[in-house]
Amino acid sequence: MNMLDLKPFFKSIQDEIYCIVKVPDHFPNYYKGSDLDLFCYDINNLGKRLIAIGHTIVSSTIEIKITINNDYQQVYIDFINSGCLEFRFDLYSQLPNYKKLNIKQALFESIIENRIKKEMDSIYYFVPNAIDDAVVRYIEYHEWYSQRPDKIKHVDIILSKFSNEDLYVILSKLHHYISLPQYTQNEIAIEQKKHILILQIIIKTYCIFLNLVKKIMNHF
Amino acid sequence: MNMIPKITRIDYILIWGHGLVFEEEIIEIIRNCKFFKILYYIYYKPPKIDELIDAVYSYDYAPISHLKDKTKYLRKTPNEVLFIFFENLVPNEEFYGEKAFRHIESQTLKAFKENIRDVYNPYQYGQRTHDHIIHASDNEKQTHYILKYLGYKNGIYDIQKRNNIIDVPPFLNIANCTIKEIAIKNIIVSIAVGDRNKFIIEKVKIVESPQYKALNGDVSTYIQYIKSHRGGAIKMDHDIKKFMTMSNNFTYLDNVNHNTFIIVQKANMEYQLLDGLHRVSILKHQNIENVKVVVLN
Repeated sequence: MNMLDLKPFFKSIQDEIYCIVKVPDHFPNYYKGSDLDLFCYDINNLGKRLIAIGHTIVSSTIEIKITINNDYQQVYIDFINSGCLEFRFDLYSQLPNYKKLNIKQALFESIIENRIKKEMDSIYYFVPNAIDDAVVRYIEYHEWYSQRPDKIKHVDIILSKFSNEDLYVILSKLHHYISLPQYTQNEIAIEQKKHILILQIIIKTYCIFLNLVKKIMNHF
Repeated sequence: MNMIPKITRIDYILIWGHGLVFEEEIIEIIRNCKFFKILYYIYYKPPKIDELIDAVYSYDYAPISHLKDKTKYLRKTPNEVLFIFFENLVPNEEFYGEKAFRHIESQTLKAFKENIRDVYNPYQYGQRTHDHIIHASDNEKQTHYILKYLGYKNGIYDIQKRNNIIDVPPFLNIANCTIKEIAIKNIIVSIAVGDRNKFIIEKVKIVESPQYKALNGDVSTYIQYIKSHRGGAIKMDHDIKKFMTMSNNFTYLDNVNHNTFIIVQKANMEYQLLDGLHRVSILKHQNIENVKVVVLN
């Protein structure tokens, strides 16, 4: 039995524009210490509503810890029970900073705009459509697999759920939203200048060596 | 900043030194005006009144010759002023003036300003003089610039409530925090001692604050406290009538104010109050023992 009942939280944000990504199968139940990722347009408003419900359970043993990252691009709302993390709402107002893939930020809006409505006990909540869900899971796998091999589960889910045609659609969408690494004009110029400089040094050294050899040969 | 018409805007009224005798009455009139919502006070004593006059009117649109006459009398007024910054909820902007002096003004504020001047400007031979006791902004840009002149780096953005996950007053910056339940007896508060010309801040228990004393019947101490420190130590609008009304029917974190937490900071074994002295005084008066607060990290 979970300490937190997540249903009132989602009832309070029914009319907000958000999307729960990577919804676990056991939702609205959760494992102690787990989190739920929410993409949203208005992180302040969404956070306010969750806290308005959350503070009603604050007591001598239960606290809410709020962490604001990167100038409100990400907010953690942690429910702490007797010093241990019970559950976390992880709110995003833009795509996380992925290091292994360059993902265009427009994917964030695409996921929210194409979300689908689901219902539990007359409470509506929003999740990505099947294709977007698979795209996010694949990105997650790619980003974290080397550190967390359990992330392979995302690929397993994709392979088990989708036909070859669907996989084609998923990969096409992924391909569309992946961008090439960005180099600025300055960086390109600096790289080029570096190469030219190295070449110049090599040529100069070679010329000095040639002259030296000539002098020695003339001497003999 | 741009000049695109907005739904609301931030304006200011400046009470010149010779008008400060009417400070309480003018503030009461602003409070009673449904179009204005007071945000912030700044009591200011410039090194020389001429400097302030020049700063205020440097943003004016009127011809210089008109301004010279307009400001001549001001240079003889006392060297202290009170700025009242407020949200103008119905600006009703319109263009005034001709050619190079054409500019935007709020019709609401213009009419309000004239009413105040009709009542409080000096009269001579039955005619209202132009020795205005108040000055008002023509547009939000002027408000922004005068705040920067007064040392508020971000202008109007420094005096507005920030739209955060937790509602905070302009003088607080919320980064990371914890919502927890603490004993009210462990909260210490700050009060100003002195007056708005010169004051120090002292840390006291809740029961020693003017706010708590007012709830226990000593209203005059709190009234005097507000008057002495308005614009100095007290920048927000403290209204004794509003406070006493609020105390009669107060529920902390009710449906309307579910996000307006009392904000504290841990100080050894106690908690230093940063925002919410009125609310915590009421809760103490209601004999509430524990309170949910935001503790800044």
